[in-house]
Amino acid sequence: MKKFAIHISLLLLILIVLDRICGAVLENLFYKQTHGDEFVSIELLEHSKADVLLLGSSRASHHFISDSIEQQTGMTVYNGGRDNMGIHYINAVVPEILNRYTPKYIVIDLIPNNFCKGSQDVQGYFDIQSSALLPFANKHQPFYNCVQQYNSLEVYKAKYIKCYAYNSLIGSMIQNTFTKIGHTQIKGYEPLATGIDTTVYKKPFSNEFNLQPSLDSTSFQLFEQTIQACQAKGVKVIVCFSPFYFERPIRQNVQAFFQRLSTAYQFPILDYCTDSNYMHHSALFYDELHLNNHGAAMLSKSVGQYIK
Amino acid sequence: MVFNSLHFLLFFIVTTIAFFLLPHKYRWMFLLAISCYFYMAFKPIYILILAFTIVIDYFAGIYLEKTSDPSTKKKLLIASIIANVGCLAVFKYFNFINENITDLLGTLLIQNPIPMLDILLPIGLSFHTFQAMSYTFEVYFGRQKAEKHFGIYALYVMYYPQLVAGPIERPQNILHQLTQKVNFDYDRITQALKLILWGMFVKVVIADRLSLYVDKVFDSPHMHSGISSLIATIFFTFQIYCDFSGYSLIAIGCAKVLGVDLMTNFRRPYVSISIREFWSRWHISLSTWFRDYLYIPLGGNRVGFYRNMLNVFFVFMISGLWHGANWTFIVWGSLHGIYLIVEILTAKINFKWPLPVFTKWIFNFALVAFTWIFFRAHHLAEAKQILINIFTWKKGGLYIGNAASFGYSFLLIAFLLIADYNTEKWNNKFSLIYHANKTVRWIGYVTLIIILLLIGVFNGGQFIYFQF
Repeated sequence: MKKFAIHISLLLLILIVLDRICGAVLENLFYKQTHGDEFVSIELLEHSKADVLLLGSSRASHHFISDSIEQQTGMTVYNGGRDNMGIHYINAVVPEILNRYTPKYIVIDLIPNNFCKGSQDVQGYFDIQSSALLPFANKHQPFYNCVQQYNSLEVYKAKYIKCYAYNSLIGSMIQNTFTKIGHTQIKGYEPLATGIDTTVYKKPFSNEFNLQPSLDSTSFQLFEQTIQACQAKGVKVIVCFSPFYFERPIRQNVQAFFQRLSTAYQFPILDYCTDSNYMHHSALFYDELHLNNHGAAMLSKSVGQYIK
Repeated sequence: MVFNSLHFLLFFIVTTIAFFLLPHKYRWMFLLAISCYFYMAFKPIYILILAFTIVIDYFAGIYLEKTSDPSTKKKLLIASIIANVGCLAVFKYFNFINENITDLLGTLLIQNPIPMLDILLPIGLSFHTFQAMSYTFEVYFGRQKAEKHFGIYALYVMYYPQLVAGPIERPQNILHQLTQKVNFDYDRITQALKLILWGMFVKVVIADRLSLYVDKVFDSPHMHSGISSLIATIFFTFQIYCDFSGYSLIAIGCAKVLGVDLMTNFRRPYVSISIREFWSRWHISLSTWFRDYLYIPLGGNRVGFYRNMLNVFFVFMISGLWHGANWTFIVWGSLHGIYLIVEILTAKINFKWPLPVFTKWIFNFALVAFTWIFFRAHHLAEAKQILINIFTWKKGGLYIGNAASFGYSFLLIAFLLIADYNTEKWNNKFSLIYHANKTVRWIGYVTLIIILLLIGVFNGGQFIYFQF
């Protein structure tokens, strides 16, 4: 038993030392990325000083051409949209950005019906967003609280096991640091080239994830907190519901909630969800949820003009 | 409480320490208590189902041994089978049968008056039911003495390492081990921990990594191309192997720490060059169960040729149904039955495939992978869509998802194949964790753990076989 105890202790000791070394190397590598999903978050949290910030999911990253909006507004623009990121992520990053500097505008792109209960596997969706925040938790202390709120175990794992914060990221970190392969963004905007194939897209593939009629109060709470944080710093907020290929009307209760908040906090809502200039125009879409570069140019022009 | 959770890690450490600190005479009670806790961590109320079958089978065993009248023995055996299969029928198959009756009556424009049951399938029901039945069968055939100690018998059914997903044990192998005095043995425990480490690695690093791609394609097959569907099928072929063999290794390892040797459940099935060989390597505890308690009692190969073929087909079809109450599983089992019949027929006419071994291996792998499409699909329409995608080579780009994750998947499959080949051909000669040199072994342990932390998928969830 004694021999076993000694060996297990020795193994643990080696693992702890190795974990610290690997953790330090990975942290260094993480912040050296030159493109990719994590790079967008790093830019947003550590470097960007843009006047206009665009936040949201993959739809934001593919829908808003930073250069186009810059040309129209004469202000600097950074697109901080990132795959799978929703209000949970936005709510965490906004206060951290505002601690560093104060942009003039923050445009938040949302899928309104995602604010319904059951719109996604909420815990699963929050888990994805938490794991995106985890690598920053060592450097940005408030992220701990944010992740802890939804998955306390993850925070402790990341706190005591340094490698764990970079779980599953090593491949993309190497790719995004040493190669040009993968997502490439232009000031955060990631263009999609091809048009929609109408022979494949005859009806919506995504079924709005088993939407339930009731509202998801947590998502709305997070949204409201984000608006409050922006307004406390005098940042103008614009909420955008960007276009869909198929008709996807906003639920009445969701609409009402956003309208109420819009009135209370005086922020505009740009609703393109059922805009006939986009809907069913296959030349403007990459798939049913994402505009291609032509669609993005059209939308960016419209949003740019509004900001101007 | 799944094996790949922090909850289980804590449970295992605490209970193992307590086990070795306890005097021998109290250990069975302790093991029974923690096994109950382990099972009740899933859904407490379902412990009553286990209690029901344990009581029935315990007394059936006692009376089977006492009586010498063949007719009474048969009645006792049938009563025990009805109790066990009855539980399966109610909890696992009732809704499936009722659904099919509804569909059938619907075609005749008749409404089915029998309502569906709103119940969840008790976790691992098929496993512990089959383990309990193997005891009754063995006592009936006179190959095993009835266990007089109720607590030990209950522990035989409930022993937590193999309670929810096997290996499905035989009483001859395990009952006597449960009462043996276990000392702390360094070599046994390090061997056991290596099994747990490797099991965890193949589950968390390989199976759950592959599942990220597989789930995306199989959950919306109409959105994916032929190439993506083919890759997802190949990935699932390895995912199911790593998932289930990983579970088995952890179960075997945990039991070994506690001084119990469970049977081997997998022996590198994908090195097989025939379906017969595949089934001698895949889920061995189940395939031998069906051989001993269904195929042989049906007459095995001692009956006429056509009857024998029918038996083979029937056994595989039932094996499919055992996996789940869905037509997809029945098709999966039936396909294996058909494959085996074709193999038997070609052997009978002395036809030898004029193919090199490598080609035979590829062909066999393709046959097995084909059946996994049905196993993975939620329903036949989904399987059909995947098949259409593959066989019409449906146009569209290759779905990659996360490029790094996609890349890891191929590397991990290659790593697994090399590891299996090393075990098969060279008896682990080149394995790091089984290497003769101590330093190399330690490098192996540390490397596996660091890889586990770096690329393991820790929200991968339950083992696939838990649902059976």
